[in-house]
Amino acid sequence: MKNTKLIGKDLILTGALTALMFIIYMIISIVMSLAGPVTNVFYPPAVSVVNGIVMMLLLAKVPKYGALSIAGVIQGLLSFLVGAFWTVGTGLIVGALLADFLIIGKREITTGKMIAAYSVFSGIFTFGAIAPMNILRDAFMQTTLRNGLSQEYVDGLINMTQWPMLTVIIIAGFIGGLVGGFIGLKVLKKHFVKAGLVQAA
Amino acid sequence: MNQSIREKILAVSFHGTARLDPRLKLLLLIILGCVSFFINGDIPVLLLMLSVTLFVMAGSDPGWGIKMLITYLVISYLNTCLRYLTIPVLSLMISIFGVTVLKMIPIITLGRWVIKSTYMDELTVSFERAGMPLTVIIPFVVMFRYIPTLAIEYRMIRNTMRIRGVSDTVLKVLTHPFATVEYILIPLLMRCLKVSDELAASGTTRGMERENKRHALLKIKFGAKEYVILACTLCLVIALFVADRSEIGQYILWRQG
Repeated sequence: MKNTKLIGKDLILTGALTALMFIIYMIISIVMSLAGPVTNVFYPPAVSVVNGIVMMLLLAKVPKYGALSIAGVIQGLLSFLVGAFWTVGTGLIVGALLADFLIIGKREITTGKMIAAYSVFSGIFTFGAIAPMNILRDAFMQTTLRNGLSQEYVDGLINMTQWPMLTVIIIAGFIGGLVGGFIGLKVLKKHFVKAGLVQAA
Repeated sequence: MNQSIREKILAVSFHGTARLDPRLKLLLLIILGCVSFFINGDIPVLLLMLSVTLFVMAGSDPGWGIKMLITYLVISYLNTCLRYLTIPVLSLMISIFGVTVLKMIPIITLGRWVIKSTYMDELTVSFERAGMPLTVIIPFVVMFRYIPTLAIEYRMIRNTMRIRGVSDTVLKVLTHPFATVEYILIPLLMRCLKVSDELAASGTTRGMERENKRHALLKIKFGAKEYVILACTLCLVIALFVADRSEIGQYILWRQG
């Protein structure tokens, strides 16, 4: 139990890294939704894998209760600002708060906890981004069709999110978080610990 | 001495709508984000884009507004032309691309203008007056400020990579996507750490962590002007919704013969 209060330096680092995470999220989600319905439904796991590096760096530099929540809440608020479907932002915010509250807690943070928390965050984010295509199917279809998306594309999306497939996607979200976390730790060891920028975890 | 500092602070380079309260700007951005995905007719969306352009032009950035309006018109024309062409797979992809870009253009127009025309200290003070805790304000403000910097850093990293011949061709990027991500992301992260350290030092000396109430020389208030503009915006949005559901919404611009 060292100093657990977030100070100004931590907050600034969180802000800068969150900006980077959000940019990565935007680029990957736009590219993958253009590539077709099959890749579109798998964009949250892909985002989680790449963002794992950034998130692990954040958690290693700011090993305090609250860093993950702030990163998630700000990404959620931003996704409202750029006009994503409202469940995406809600998923990000709820995921971050839950992961922070349940797994990280106020005790000292270990690498295992970091990966577990990130995996939960990524899983809930996936659920928030993809599940409305099934649960709120009618509202979703109406909006997208009226937006001028073609019938084939929307049909493809709806077909991809039927029940057995949906479970696979959400599990892929959790696994994406795990993989991202492991890759992140490896990258941390390879580049940052060696350079002395991060204390060995 | 004291007087000259005061004058420097009060001599702001923005005028018109750019001097509105930052909270109002963010609120407008949220409204636009929600609305632009539910308004679909050609004419209502064009009207929406026009009003965004006018708003931005009144806020000391006319060049940007006109540029984005022209981009919007060109893309919407091309996108409509596409309805009369059918190429098997490509047509679908391009039309999705077109729709996404068309939806994003008004948001990008307003968003970049908000980032450019808002002083970060103004944003901090206005958030603080809205009662948000410091732990949310600081990361949010840093993030706003940091997004343009990221673009500059990215360009520098790409230049360096090109000089050294690392992942400098499309072929190399395509054959080694993960290596490319690593080569770009790691230097960016290193820069993030450096910049945030410097920012923290600079912020601490300026009293960023002070818990007391802040005073501002510039007038920052959610006053009558802001409420009037908010009311006008809501009227406009309702009018556009009605127009969108009526016959005007069905009309297709640029009808080909």
